[in-house]
Amino acid sequence: MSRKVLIIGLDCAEPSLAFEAYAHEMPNLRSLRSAGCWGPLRSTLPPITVPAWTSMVSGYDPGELGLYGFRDRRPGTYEYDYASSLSVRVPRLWDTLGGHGRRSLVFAVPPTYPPPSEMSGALVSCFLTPDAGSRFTCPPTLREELHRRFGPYIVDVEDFRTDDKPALLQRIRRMTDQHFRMAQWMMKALPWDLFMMVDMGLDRFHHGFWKYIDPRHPRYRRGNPFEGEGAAYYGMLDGWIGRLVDEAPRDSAVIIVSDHGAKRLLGGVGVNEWLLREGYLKLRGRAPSAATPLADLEIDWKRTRAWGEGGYCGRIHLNVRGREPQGIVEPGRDRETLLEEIAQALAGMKDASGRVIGTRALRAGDIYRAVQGYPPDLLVLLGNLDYRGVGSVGLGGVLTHENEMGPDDANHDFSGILVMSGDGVPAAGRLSGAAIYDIAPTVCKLLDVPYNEPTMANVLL
Amino acid sequence: MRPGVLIWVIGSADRLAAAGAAIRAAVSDHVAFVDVMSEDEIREHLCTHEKEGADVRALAVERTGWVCHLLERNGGAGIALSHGSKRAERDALRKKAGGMIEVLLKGALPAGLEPPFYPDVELDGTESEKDIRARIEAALKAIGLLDESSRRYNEDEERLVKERLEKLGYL
Repeated sequence: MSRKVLIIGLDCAEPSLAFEAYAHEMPNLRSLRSAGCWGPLRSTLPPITVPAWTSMVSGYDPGELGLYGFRDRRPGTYEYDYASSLSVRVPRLWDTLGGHGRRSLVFAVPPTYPPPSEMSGALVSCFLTPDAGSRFTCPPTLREELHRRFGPYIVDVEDFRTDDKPALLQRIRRMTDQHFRMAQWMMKALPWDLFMMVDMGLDRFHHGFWKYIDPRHPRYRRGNPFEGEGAAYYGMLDGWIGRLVDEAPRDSAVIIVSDHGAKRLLGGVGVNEWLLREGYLKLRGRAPSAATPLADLEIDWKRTRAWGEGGYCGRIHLNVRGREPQGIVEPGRDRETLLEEIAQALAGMKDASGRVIGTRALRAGDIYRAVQGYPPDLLVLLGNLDYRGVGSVGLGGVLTHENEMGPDDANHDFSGILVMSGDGVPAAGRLSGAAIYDIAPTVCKLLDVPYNEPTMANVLL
Repeated sequence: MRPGVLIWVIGSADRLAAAGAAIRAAVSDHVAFVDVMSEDEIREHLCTHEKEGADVRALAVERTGWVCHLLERNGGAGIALSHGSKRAERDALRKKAGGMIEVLLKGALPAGLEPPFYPDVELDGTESEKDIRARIEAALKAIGLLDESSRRYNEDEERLVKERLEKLGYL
């Protein structure tokens, strides 16, 4: 079979924008939709970049992968390890295809740093690459070629937390432009059966500009100078989609995907601030009066029952005897009782007006098919993702509308986008029920390569 | 499949658990999975309880070694915490295992325990977690397990990535 598969990943692309609000700015995507099938793509829990993209290219859920976010607990300690390509212990699409003699070109798919030392095809690592001087390509010589043609690799958007929005927008656009140009060159210069790229620019745009483009955001102001930038950015991406699709071989199937969606962010919940006030977390000495990361404080582990982490989803860990170095919560019934108590208290959390914000605390054993590695004891969806988690203490209150790291207007949402079109894809119209896990076996089917992983993933064709 | 390692930790009972946790943390970056065979587990599941004696102890060592070897040959790390093994018994395990390192916790040792003549790693209890990690990694490298290119991040890289993720709001 000579068919090829082109996957363009737009991190954080939101269905309500790509399929509705900005559809008029996306003629190429509309054309692909009308010739194929499309719909929302249910993301992982948590809907976070590293587990989501890994689930997409493997078919395994975060529990099976043992990947719960950008960093996970280091066993037997209170420390964390940052996710990298080496955290992935299962075959990804390019591994599976390589086993059948197929060549893959992989561009910036998280997490792909460090790159493999060899593979069937070529790979450029993602934004988890430390910097442009790192060894971020396979083969290594590809780095010099890209540098010579396109300048230093823009790993990610520098100085992201800034109020200088025009400059931020310029940097995001510059990164997106460079990455698509690099991908376009690779697509033409190197042989491939699967070409997969991910652009992070849209995620950065949403977090930096959501309040300017969403009339439902409380800080939206009609007529603001960035009001049209959402449509313009989605339109720019559509232009790149059109160029890559046009330049792909005629017998290509095309898949446009995102790892999760986006929604307005109303504020943050001080996870540790709450645990401290409720008596689950104990510090040595007085609590700080200004926002201070928990890592900078001395925790009284002998009296601490739970602590947490911030991020787009909150995470809470219990200090369990025999598991944590200074654990005090007895495993078994005591642990279960405490988890239930914390989950119930979080479910009743209210905003300043007294409205229950709708927080859910989930356990790994309830949401995954298997639990590998070291998951948080509770994955906390704060206000159904209207709020993010803030890990610092000394915030002055549990609910905060300021983020200690600077402005952020958007959170991730539970579903991203899926558009499939081209050779081998029926014009089936709107799809419902597609999940992020389904992409890996679907790509294998399109390339006539067996997908034998014992996952829950389904072929979408 | 990436290779695994069998790690045998030798020392007094009061220091084994802490050392096991530190070694587990150090090795977890480099293998598919890690499990620590604690003394309690060895006593509960791998000892013959009907009688006491040298043969019973030797059998427990052999069984513990076999479990760790199974983990090792499947790409993981099996860490045995034991204060009652003989040099010859560990040498026999070393021949069986694809990769094995012996960690000696320096200090007073229980009677009957034979410390290795040339331990791969020696710890005196004053080392930081970072020191332990460095020594374990050096031992892994010495037996060919640790390919430098397989490291996740070095300290400078981790700092860069952490700062970026914090600014992006992921942490």
